[in-house]
Amino acid sequence: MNSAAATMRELQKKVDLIANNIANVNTNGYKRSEASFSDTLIQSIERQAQPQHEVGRDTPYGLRIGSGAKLTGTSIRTEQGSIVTTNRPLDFMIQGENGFFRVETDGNTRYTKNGAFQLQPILNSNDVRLVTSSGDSVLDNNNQPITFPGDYDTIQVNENGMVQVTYKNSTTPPLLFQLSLATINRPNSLEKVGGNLYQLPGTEADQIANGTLQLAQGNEGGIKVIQGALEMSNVNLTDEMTELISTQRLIQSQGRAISMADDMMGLVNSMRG
Amino acid sequence: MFRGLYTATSGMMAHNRKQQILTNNLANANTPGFKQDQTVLRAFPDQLIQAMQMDSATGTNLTADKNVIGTLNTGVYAQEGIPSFVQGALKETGHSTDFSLLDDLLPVNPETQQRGSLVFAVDVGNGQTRYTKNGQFTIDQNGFLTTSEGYQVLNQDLQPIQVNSTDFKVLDSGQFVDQNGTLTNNRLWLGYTDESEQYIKEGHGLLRWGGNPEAGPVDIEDVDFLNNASIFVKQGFIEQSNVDVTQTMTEMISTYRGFEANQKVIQAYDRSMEKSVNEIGRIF
Repeated sequence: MNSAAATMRELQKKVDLIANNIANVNTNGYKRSEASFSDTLIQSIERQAQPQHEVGRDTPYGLRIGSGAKLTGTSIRTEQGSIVTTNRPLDFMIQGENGFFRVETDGNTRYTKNGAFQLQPILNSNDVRLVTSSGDSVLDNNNQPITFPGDYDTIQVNENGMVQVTYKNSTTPPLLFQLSLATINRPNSLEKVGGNLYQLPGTEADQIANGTLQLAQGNEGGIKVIQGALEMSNVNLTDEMTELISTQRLIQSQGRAISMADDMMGLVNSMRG
Repeated sequence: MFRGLYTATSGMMAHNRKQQILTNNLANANTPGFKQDQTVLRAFPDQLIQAMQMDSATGTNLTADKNVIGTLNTGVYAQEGIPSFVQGALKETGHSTDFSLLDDLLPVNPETQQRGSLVFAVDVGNGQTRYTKNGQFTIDQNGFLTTSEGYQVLNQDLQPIQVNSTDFKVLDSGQFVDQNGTLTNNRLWLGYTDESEQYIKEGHGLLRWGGNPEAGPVDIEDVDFLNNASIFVKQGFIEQSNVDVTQTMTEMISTYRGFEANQKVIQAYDRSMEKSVNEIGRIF
């Protein structure tokens, strides 16, 4: 009874995970999560008859009874989502599974796949800053926010992530910024922190040292920046619904197991009378 | 007189154990690489029943006139849970860190005429090695291939495998190929044995060898008749649990009814005892 109840709780977590994936089916740059399961501790009953009396056994001595299943972890699946062309100059996507934009939130570096950027005016100046849709600064390769005077004419980004801002006034020279891109070789180390952002445990220096993270200049390690396009969510609704149905049915069967165990206890209680 | 009261009790206990094992199977119907347990119920040893005859005059046993009635079992218990090592269905995931073992494609052992099964080896710390059927692996922070619980997967020399990124291939023989397409000197350690029932489940998908220590699983390289086989493992697939939910549910229902029947027998004994205590010898 306990093992069915515990398993039901673990399966509920999987449903929560699927629900989150489905909720983000239209979130740009969203990466789906997957649950992995394992069986749990085995209770071993050793007080059986002496081994010499256990005639004709196939298995080693003792009786081992498991206690259900549990969720061992979730992993982020980084395969590329579909591409939608918007032709908006401030929409970017990274081609390549492991490439991420680096952004700054409250002094911490985070990673995102969502390239729907905006320009935010800076108070008391004519400058604007390149930010994500939630207002976090997009970093350049010197770990600085990208700011430039707001009276620009065009913004162009090449495959390498080099941003060129030109001005109508021909005396103003065009400004160049290099978008900072991260290649994350072990996407399983990524943690979702909400707001479509990811973080890595520890410091960036540690992660570079152990090979999880590489700071790329673009066009390295097979990643490319494309302007005027967005990467959609990589959630496949059909797959998620199928998983949801099968998980739901499994929860239902755990419920049956619980009610059967309950009936059995009822039988024990009603033995007399 | 009432020999069967405890027999029926043991029946209830054994059915309860069987129900626990079935519930565990059902709970793991979605656990990759899980092998369902089959419960074996065993009768207590037979007892020989004899009729004793008393000499009514002297009150002594007439032991010379043994009158054998027959044998009687006085109970039942859950003896063992045998994991069924039948291959589970394969499910394609497309992830480079998912593997499934292909037991069904192994050649039959010419000596025993049996088809054995394969396992992966993992390091559980303290130099201890365990085996697993669950090939849903991941890559840890230092670039080692690990199980989803974080145990390192071992190569042919029982050393951890460092793959660095998810961009790698594994051939059907278990050989690793790096992102540039060159063969590496890493190959998955794949253990073969004919006697899969000697594995002891430890939970977390881990198996321990519980049989003769010298006869444990050996790497496929060291098994002569497997030298001609080439397909042992498939990348991008996981082996699903081999639990059949329908069959398990059916068995649970019948186990439940078995439990109930034993309870009814106890109730019948109870009523018999009630009669013998309260009614036999009552005058009014």
